[in-house]
Amino acid sequence: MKFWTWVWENKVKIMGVVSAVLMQVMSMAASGQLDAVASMAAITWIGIIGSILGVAITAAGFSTTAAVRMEQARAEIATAMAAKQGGKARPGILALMAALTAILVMTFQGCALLGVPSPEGFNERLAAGYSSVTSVRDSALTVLQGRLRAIEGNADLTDLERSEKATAARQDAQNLQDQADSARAALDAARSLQGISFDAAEERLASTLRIIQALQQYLEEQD
Amino acid sequence: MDLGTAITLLTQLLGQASTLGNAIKKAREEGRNDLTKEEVDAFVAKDDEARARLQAAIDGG
Repeated sequence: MKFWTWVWENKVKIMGVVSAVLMQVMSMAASGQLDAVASMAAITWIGIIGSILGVAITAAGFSTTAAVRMEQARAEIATAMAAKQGGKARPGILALMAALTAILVMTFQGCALLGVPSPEGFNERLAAGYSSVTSVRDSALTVLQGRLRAIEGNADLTDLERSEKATAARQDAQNLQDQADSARAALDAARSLQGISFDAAEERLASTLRIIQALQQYLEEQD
Repeated sequence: MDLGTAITLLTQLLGQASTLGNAIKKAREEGRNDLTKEEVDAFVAKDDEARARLQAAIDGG
């Protein structure tokens, strides 16, 4: 019983070893070294068994990967649900958001993921820049509202602490607003340069998009 | 950041990406390889609105 348990647990390794041996046999057969000891039918069967083993190893690999991913997904959901009860998004979710938003908004690959063309022309990338600045402002608004709600709902705070925290939250939002304004001004400048020097406009646009990306990243890391 | 805020944030960002994607898709369908000035202006106007909303919240509105 133990032997078969061991065989089952190590099935992929065993299949891999047998498959490697069969490949060697097939290789020898192909070069005629086995002509004297094995018939053509036997060599054909060895080839068929080798192919079946190859498929089985691939299937086992997929099965293992699927099982691992399922387990990871289950763990993610369980932890996220636990975090939700505590009212906080766990770092994994924020990391996921950061990755998604970075993909969707900043690298502009998101359009392809959503099944629409990616921005290519100058105006399209300019619009992507404006859209990203807007997303920074919207995100700042959402974060501000969330922070204000949390402050209001925290019964442990005194009125003074509540007021100080609300002021700090508003100040953070104002900083983001100011930085978004700077990025917007840079985009406007790139747009106005378009008719004068296309290269300069392109350079300005590219550097501005990098600034917006950094802004977005900062927002996503907010607690 | 609480989970509700995180989800709202993600939804907004998806919305932004979708708006941009739809504008580009429309341009491609019309045989254009870039957006028009008017289409870019629409994105500028949306940013103006977002700016006003954020400023109102900052100012306690």
